[in-house]
Amino acid sequence: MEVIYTGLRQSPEDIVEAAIQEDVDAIGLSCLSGAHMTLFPEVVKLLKKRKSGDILVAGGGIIPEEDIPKLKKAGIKVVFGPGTPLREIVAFFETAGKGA
Amino acid sequence: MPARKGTAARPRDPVPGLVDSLLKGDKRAAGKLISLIEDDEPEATEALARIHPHTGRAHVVGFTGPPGVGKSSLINRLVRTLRGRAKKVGVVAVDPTSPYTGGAVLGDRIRMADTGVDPGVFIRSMATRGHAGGLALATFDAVRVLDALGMDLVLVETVGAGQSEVEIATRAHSTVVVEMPMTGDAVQTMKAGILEIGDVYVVNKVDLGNADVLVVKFQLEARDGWTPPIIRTAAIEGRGIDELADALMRHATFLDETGLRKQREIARARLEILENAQRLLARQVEAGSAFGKDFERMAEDVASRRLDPNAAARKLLPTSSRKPL
Repeated sequence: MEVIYTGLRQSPEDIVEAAIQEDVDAIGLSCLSGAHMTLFPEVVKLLKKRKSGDILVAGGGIIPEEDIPKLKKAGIKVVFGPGTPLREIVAFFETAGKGA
Repeated sequence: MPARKGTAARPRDPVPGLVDSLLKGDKRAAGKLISLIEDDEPEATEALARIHPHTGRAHVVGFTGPPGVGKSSLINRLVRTLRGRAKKVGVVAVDPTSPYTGGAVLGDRIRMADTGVDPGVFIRSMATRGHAGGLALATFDAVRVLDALGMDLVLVETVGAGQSEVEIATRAHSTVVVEMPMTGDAVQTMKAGILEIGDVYVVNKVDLGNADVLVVKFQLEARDGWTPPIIRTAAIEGRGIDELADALMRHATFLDETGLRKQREIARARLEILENAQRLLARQVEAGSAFGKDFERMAEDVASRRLDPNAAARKLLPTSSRKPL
């Protein structure tokens, strides 16, 4: 597995642009500021606009339980809250990469 | 080596459509085509064949030098300066693959975030995937894709492993060797390679002082009528970047005016033909191929000393070249 780390404080536009240039299978977003309800769906929206809706989007960070269904409805495939075992996250991306 | 992306999982677009989109400047097509080539998918050969006639316009600049001298930061600043001069710029940044897991963390983008969504910039990260020499096998095919995308310059950042990084100089039009003060001693810079491959030398992080020592080391005599300039930079502050851009433009003009560009292109073509021949030959004798069984028999004959390896190799070549070498 190859992971491209883009650094902190990237705008949704930056993230989508990088994902397209790198032709990634999946994007992992982390947000601790509370802006996830705006920023995560924006990434999904921009991907669709760039005809790249097939790229999987996963989220994580400080995200209240009640926001998770809304995020999933907005196209975020999975949300990992604080304390999620690393093993679980790795397993998710491994199967995602194989399209299983 | 495990593939970076499970491209098989996602629907693949037909190659002709992708190449048409690429030639119209579609970045998504460029990204997908590079993946096809990098993952050595069956369509890669067709893709490269279709792209080839549309390449040869971009000026390719290689950057080499030890890890930590600031190659990524330098490229980041240079991209901005070149954009200011209305040049479209592609970047291929190579990082090492772990020999233990086959995975890689590619971090060059962190230092190249300044150009973000600029439509005239395309940055692609690439892992070495076991290839030695500071480059990935697909690096220069990715350069070709960015050339066909319409980039005026393509900057290639090598791994920066140190002393075996001369491959870049055989592929790029201009090679930039980046060093910084306070590393190593005079002997490091005298080792074979470093002083022989640079068309431009950069002493980065001059703010750390002591740059003069390196500058003296790099003072070289002209080769083929070109004296490699030595540029002092402080990439984070943006110092010396204009001078570096000027030096690269001067070198590009020099290559054109002296006919050296053509010579370098031909030298590179020779290498690439031989590499492709080697790859094709290897594929021809794979298990299960038409020659697979013959090849296995030859291997047994060589192992049991009935045949020598050179004679066996000649049997693989076209009849005309089978005479002993």
